[in-house]
Amino acid sequence: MISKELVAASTRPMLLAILARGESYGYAIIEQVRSRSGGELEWSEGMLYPVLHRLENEKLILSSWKLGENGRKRKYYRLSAAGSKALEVERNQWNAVHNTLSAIWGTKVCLT
Amino acid sequence: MFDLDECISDWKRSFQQGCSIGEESIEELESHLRESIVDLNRKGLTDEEGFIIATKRLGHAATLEAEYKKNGLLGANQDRLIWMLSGYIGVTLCGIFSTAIVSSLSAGMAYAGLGSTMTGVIAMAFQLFFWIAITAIAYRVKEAPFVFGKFPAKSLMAMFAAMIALPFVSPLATSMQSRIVDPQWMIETYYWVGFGHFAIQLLIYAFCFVALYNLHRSRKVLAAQH
Repeated sequence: MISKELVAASTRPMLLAILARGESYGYAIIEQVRSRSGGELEWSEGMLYPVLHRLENEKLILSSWKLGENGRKRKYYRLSAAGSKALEVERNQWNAVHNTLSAIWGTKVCLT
Repeated sequence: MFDLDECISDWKRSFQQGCSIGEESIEELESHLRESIVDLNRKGLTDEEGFIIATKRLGHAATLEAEYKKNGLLGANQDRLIWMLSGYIGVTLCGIFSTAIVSSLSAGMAYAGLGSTMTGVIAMAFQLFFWIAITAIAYRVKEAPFVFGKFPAKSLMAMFAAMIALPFVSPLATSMQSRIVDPQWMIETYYWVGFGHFAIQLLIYAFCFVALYNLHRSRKVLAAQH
């Protein structure tokens, strides 16, 4: 199980990366993280929404209420121009950490 | 008969009025809850079972509120505020303690017949030793690097400069006043300034204790729920 600290640290870049692929809403984001991590990462709703709102306050993401395919209202989030730049910075930083660890551990796989 | 809409309304009411989660966020959480229930329905669970599991996954209203609170200005600076208030109270208490000792020492030295200069030097030496000891103890506290790391270097420098400069302001202003006005005026002014200072200090202490109590309580709630 991944530590709470690492989960917390990776929330921001992961959210930006998910929204860079297209707009999404809370429930779908949690499901996406669960399936893409193979169940290793379990985000709680209590953690996700405040982070989404924080990113929105920082103008990195934008939100709007829309009707979903089930006919219910959902709050969709999408990446802003500032968010794209922030994602680029995050990507560089995480790549640097990943490459360093890979070099130390003797494997080198590029994330991009 | 289980009424899903009624239960969801009750669940929404569990969020206190005026809580840190706004109306729109509660609506968003409701939307999430309904998605979750529909998903569980697809897996063969009834509305009632789905509601129980989905609300459990979302967490208790107080936990959610505590998480949302972190987004506020107060929440983001909670640790800093706790340390600032604790620091203020700690330093004030130390100041009161050292003043009381210096006063007693001075009285004792006067009784023993020591000269005023010598008494002043000893009192000053004691103050210096006392504050160096307090600073050394503070630095030995395990959390010291953590505490100072919470304040940007520039603000620490500004605080240090203020600590050095401010003690000179009061005696300078007093000496200027004494040259301008007569002693009676000074005594009357000091009486009112002293009373006002005492009242304001009391209010600040009360505020610090109440704020600290609230900050610690909200932290405890959060820790217990995690």
